[in-house]
Amino acid sequence: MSRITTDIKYSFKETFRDRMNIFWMFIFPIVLFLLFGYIFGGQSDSTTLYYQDNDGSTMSNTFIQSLGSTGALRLKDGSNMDLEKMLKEGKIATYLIIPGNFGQIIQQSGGTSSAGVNMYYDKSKPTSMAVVSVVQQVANGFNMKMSGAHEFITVNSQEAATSGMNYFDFLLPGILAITIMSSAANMSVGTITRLRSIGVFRKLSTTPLSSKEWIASRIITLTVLVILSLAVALFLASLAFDIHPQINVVSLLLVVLGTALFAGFGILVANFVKNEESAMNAVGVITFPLMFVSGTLIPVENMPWFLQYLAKISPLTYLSEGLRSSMITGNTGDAVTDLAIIAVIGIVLFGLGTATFNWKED
Amino acid sequence: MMVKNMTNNVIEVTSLMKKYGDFIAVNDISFNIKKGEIFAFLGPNGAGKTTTVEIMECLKNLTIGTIKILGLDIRKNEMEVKKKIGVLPQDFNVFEWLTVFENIDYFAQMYPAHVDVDTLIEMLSLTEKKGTLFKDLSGGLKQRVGIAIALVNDPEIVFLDEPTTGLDPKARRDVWNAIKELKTRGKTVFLTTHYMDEAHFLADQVNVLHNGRIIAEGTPEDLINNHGGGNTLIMRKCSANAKNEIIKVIPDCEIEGDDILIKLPEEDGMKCMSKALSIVNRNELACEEFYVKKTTLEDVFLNLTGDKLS
Repeated sequence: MSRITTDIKYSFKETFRDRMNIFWMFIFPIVLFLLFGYIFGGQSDSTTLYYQDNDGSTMSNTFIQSLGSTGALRLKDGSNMDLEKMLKEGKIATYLIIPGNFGQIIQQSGGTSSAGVNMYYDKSKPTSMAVVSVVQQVANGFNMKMSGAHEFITVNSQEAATSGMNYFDFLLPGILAITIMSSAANMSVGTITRLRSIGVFRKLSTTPLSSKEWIASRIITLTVLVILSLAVALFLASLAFDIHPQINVVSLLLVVLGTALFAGFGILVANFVKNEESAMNAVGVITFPLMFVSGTLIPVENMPWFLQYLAKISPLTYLSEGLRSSMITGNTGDAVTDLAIIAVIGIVLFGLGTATFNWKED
Repeated sequence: MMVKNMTNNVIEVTSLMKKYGDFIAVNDISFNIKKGEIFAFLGPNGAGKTTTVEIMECLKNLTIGTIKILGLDIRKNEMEVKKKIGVLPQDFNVFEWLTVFENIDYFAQMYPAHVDVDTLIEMLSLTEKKGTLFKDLSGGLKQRVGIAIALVNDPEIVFLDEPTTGLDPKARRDVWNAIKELKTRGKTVFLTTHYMDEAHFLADQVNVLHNGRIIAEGTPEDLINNHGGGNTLIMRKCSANAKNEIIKVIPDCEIEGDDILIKLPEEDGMKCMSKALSIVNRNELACEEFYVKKTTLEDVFLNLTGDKLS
């Protein structure tokens, strides 16, 4: 027992001394989160509506204010901007022009003729249509009020956890799953091949420490490190993005078994590919594409059909979806199914990895 | 019964063979090592030294034969044997991001009983480097840490596999002194090396290995006397008539340019030498320099195999 505790104590010391480990375990997940968050989720600017109010009457002001009060749009006064040019150059997605006679027409006609506002939008921007429909809704409401009609149907919209999930909420469990995979697979394959190639295993195998004791100690260390790095990522996500995932038994088990799964994979590769660099590359060749096709960064449904097949056989898909269900959407039933899949693959890979691990040479 | 107790052997290797597929790395070797001696395996790379020592360290499995260490069959008592031996493996390395102290302590904790770490650090003059990370040490210091770690369990037998390969002359001397120190502490030392001067300086007993077989054994002096081919008198830069006169009196001398090489027969080397010198003296012939070249283990190896050691 003291052999295992000694190895755990010193492997922690070693891990925290090497700054590269700190980067990969604690900084990299955050970088990945911010990077993908802003690349794919940072399109909030497309819900910005630029407007030019050429009327400037109380009527046009009220209209703009009611657009703003929907909360669905960000309004920006584009009075002195060449909005037409900006739209053509793709800098903005939509703009609205209120003509100079807007207020006058409404007031003078007394409801007989209608005043037009002009919407311009870029169809290639996915959110531009949504902006147009928001403007349409507001105009409808305005019409009703002006004509004094009774509202027969009102739609009370309520945000549900699933549909209202924004991209950062979606991304967080994906990043956690990627962190588990890359930490577990890379640390296990890296440590084993490195210690073997520089001869530390040769030395260890002459002591009473057995290879099984060593692997047990390293898997304990690795699991604690993975949990620590996830905790740091979660803490920062809650501070910076106000995301508050639930931490429960299912999510914890997913983390532990996911770590065992990818560590088992790393150990297995290290057992058969003896060269340090080749082994690291072999793990990279498999884990790198998995990062992208497993519904971690982009929802599986949004991928082409052939990649969706890949997602189905990628264990990372079940890990990230399990974490998403258990931590974000609260869909425990789905999470338990994912957990069961991870558990089965994890036990097989980890079992095979540890059973074939031996530092005694031929 | 009597034989076992009287021999005082701490290691007994009988008919050891190691095969890798069809390749025979170690071919039917047997030897015994007595308590308290420094025993060296001398041979070029690929002779089978490291394979043999790694089998004895329980690092590799043997194909045929028996090895008894302190009376224990290593195949049946691996754990017991591991507790009683200390090992400095070839190309020794430990944890790069741990300090000297931490590395020694790590290995000390692997044994149920171990020596005080600070005592070991002092013994190998590592006190100043105690807090240095292993990766930042020079080659010689790394080897000294390796010897310290080989001693954490206060072993009766210490295996050192090529302990000075790749070290500069000063570092080699330091490691040699550390090894000599082991002997004074009563340890039995098993050493492998391809440096003949190392074997000569350190070893009480030398086995010469070639192609997986032991081709000669004995003390360094015995080996030199038996297989070295004797000493050679060398007379450098001699004049033409000096060469002519010498060749008349000592017909089996060798002339290399202006140098004369005379093999000194073991029984009457002195006589042969004074004969050559008196010729030069009597005729007032010109030779610039005289010296006797002693044979070394290198010559022993060359004579036995026709190959050079390194």
